[in-house]
Amino acid sequence: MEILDKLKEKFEILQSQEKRKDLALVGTTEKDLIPLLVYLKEYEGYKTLVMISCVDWIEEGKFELVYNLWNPSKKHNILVKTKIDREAPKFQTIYKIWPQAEAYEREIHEMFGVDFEGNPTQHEELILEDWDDIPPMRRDFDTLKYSMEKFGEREPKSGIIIRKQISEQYDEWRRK
Amino acid sequence: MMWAKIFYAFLALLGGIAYGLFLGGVSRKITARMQNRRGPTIWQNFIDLWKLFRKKTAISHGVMFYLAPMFRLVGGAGTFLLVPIVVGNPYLSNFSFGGDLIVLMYFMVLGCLGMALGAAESGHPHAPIGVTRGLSQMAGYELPFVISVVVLMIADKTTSIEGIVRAQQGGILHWHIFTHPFAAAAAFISLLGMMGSYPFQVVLAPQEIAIGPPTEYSSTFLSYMFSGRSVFAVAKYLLFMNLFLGGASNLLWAFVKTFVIFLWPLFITNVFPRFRLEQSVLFFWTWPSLFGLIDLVRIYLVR
Amino acid sequence: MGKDKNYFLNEKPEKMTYGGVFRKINDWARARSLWVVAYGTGCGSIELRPTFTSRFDAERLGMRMVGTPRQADVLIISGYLTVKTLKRVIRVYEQMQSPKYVVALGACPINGGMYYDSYNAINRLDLYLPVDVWITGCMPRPEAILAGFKRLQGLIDSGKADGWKKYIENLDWYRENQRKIIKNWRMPNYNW
Repeated sequence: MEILDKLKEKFEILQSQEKRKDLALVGTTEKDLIPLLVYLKEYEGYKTLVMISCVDWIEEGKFELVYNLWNPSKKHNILVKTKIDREAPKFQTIYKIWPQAEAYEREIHEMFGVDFEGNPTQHEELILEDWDDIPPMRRDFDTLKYSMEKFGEREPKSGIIIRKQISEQYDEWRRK
Repeated sequence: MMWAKIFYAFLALLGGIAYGLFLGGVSRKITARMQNRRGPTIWQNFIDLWKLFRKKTAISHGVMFYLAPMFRLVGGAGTFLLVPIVVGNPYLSNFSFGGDLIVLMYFMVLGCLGMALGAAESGHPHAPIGVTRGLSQMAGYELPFVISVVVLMIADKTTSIEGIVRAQQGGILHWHIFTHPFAAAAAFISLLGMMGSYPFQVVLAPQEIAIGPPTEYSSTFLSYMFSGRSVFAVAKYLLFMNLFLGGASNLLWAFVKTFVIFLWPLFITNVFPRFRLEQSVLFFWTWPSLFGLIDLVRIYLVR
Repeated sequence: MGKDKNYFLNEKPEKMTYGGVFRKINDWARARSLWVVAYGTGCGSIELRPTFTSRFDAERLGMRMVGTPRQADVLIISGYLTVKTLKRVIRVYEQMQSPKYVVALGACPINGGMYYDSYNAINRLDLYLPVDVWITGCMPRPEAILAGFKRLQGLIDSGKADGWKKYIENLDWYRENQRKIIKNWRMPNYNW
């Protein structure tokens, strides 16, 4: 794949793979990521940012940011990855390159707690209003425990669903 | 005699409301059948009215908010009471005195005006949008309607509805729909706008602005508006019957003719998509107005 | 008014005198003229479209979609409810005028359904709003929804659909449950 060879000449490539005929994967360092994205956009025709996603590698202590780019003329996708520190996750925003990145970064900030420096709206809540715990998409967040504590038991322990009448529940609550 | 007249007019008003609700049910049924479904019963509007009337009301936005449904009802009832049902019959001509076409046209605006004030006070953002649209739409359809009414006034040299009905006696070809076809066409197209039927449905516009002006109105308010709208519709059908279809010689004829007029906007409604506001107003100011003007010129030339 | 002020409505609306001479006629008319507020919270709202259009034609039961909660009688919770949606649902429910009924569709409002371990989908709706009729399934087909509405009509006819009265009577209990999960209520005030 010629695009991968070109990239290997110019940047520090940690990992590269041709997944399919129309999909390639490139892993790079934190430092080289933004020059690589700009190079792909301006010189190679990968004009569209499809999405940004984030993967939690809890064993390594890393977050992996994945930028999915699309070349409309060659009909080719490329995934650009980089790993950042998990303890104090911080990265440069790319909303000046692609304005639509603002919303994706806002979502990643909400779901993983990654701080995108320079993104003006990332602190506004997107779907989690008044969130009071660690970001929910991190793998050390126990979603079942949180759900049981906040929203109550799903059903009684016996396994048979016996629902108390609402009026009994009022009485119980009043007695307390 | 005066008290008897008031009593009979009141009876006719109740009958008018009931007839309007019945026609609303029939229109829902016909719409349902045209869409290949079964539809509600034709008495559905009576049930809705009763339910709305007995619902709780806990909303208040000020005095005008309370008065607007009353304006609507009074506008509808007033229009109804100024139109004779059967001309010449002392029990069924309501309060139609001589020279009442001009008063009538003022009354027809009253309901819209009260609604505009009340809806503007309700504070919901959809309401002023609906009101603006309604008033612009009114400026649209009033022009062809007034032109065609003026044609009839000049032709019959009277402004009273009874006079116009009397001028049409003596056979079906004396009806104004045949003697002044262009003016009739203008008026019947503007009827579509008055009834808010579908190509000109910009006021309620359910897909865009919820239901427009009455967004904040509920329960009892809505029931008053509902009955006001029904009786207003009946008044308009009666008016068009008297102006263009030669009036009615008895109640049965009045039912038949108003039912025929009622079917016209209904069938148009069910097969057309919707105009935007400016398209709608522009349409009223071009074709129907042109039709009206043709008859106006013709009247002068023939005379 | 500060932006962070708590806008929970604590005062109860006045109780409606329910009954009297017309009670039977009222119940009969209410059961046959159910206006549904057109508000979909989850995947179930896709099943409401065939229910209300030509294929299944709920209008023959006297039902209609209306675009504003002020005129509606029935609120359909169509599927899972997140905390963010629950705020809006409570607001819509309280703006509806009594008598009002709630119908919950699907497994999610009953016990969480397939989202029982989700971090923002609530598990049990009846802790927060009084529900009159539950329709199970994931999602219930339009036939099931129509059957549920027939059941609601039967309940209203016999005067048993009184969730709205319970809500007013036990408002403190409902408010406490709602406060547990909705930390900060920043919304304009409204009267109900």
